[in-house]
Amino acid sequence: MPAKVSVTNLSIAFGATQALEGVSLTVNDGEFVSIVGPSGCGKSTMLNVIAKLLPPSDGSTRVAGVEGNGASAAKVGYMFQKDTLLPWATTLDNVYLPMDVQGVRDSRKAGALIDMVGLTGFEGHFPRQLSGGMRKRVQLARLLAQDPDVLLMDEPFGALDAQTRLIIQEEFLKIWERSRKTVLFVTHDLQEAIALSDRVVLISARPGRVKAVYRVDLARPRHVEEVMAHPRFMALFQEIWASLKQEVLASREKPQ
Amino acid sequence: MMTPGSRQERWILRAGVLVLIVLIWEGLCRVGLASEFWVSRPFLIAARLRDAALSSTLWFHMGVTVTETVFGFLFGAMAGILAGFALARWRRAHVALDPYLMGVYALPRVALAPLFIMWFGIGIPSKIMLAISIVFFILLINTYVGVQNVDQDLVNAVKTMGAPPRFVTRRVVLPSCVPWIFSGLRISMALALTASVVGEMLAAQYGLGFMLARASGTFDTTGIFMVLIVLALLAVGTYNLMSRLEKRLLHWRGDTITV
Repeated sequence: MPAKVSVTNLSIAFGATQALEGVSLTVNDGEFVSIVGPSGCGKSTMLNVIAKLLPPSDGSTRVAGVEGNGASAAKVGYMFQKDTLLPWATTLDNVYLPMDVQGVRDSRKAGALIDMVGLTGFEGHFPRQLSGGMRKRVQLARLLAQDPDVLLMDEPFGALDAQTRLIIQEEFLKIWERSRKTVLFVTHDLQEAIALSDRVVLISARPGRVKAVYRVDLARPRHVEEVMAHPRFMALFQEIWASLKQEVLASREKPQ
Repeated sequence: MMTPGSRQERWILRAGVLVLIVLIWEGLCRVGLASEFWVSRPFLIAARLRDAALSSTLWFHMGVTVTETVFGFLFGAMAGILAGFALARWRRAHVALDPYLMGVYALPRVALAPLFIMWFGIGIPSKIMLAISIVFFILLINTYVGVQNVDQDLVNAVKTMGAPPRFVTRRVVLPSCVPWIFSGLRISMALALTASVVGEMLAAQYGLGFMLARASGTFDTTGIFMVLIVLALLAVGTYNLMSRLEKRLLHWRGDTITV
């Protein structure tokens, strides 16, 4: 299978702080890969480098075979943990935004996406009039409106309450299994990582290195609640958590 | 405290305050506890206001003041907004000019009035310049701060969609500056009026400030109060206009905070 995203020997330093050191990983076309690791291990920073928002200190990243800066930006869709909807734009206008960048407004597609995330009837609402879960849904619709080859997602559901998160994970999984975009997904939540992904990459405490890669051999299509009750899920969770826990503890001993 | 419910109730309460003030004021003068010479009397002021409104003098003087205020406000605001964006765009210019801009900004700018009257005469231009000198800096600083405060995460999000810088400016930076610019405009409107009136009081042949100075010179308390009332009405009117415009343009924020 062709590599859609490849990270080669990537190192990132902020002043004297080494965030990432010699990280290499590939994400294949149509694959869902999660990155887990302790806070401050440079997971989000890696996404920023792949999205060309930050230059790497060393090493390189490629998306769809294109290296370097500026190229193929439209092919990468980035969903931030923080709410990045334009507060002065309605749901519909926010979904139109990536289309406007590309210079083609497709009202049918926008309507279909809004419908897909269950927000029909809220097209004219401003972000402040929507709940946290609804705003995430608008962001998801906006991300898909961009029609990127690769989705970079940085703890996209982290700020939601537990119930809402479960529902959105389920919906997102359903949408993803239909489209099968390539996804690189950063999360704190190991359960989320296993339930959604094909592979889970464990990054060590700072300086972040790839400690281990786990293949999630659970059949698709999956349902989040069912998958979480699966014996294989629990075995994987225990295996990865044992390793992740060491890193979390290690990162707590170091000064921030 | 209970929030007074209806719109009607609000207006009745407010009208009640007005009636009360007028009655006490008038009453104090009538029974001889206050002197008409120092504080005038509501009925005298009302009569004067009526006479002035029926003749063309009041409208003429008011027209002059409004002209100065509006032109000073518009020119000052436009120049200030453009300069604010320019300074935010060219960091080096900001570094070079910052202390001087701050110096002029901190200066009580009505103190420039004598200079402007010397340079631009006692007519309308000197008052417009005075208003501009105040409005310009407020808008410059508000716009500059607005650009600096653009949410960088929004900028990054739109950048990752492949948007060129011009698109980011138009769709992210400009709209997010609007609240800042508006708060500058709201203050500026009131200060432009102040500048015009102060300029007219110093040296002018027309305008409400001139009327005020003339009334004061002849110990005409009634005349002074009449002009003050007209000024208050003007100020409240423009403030309401700005608030309405703001509500319209910033409806995405919900209830706008009015300071």
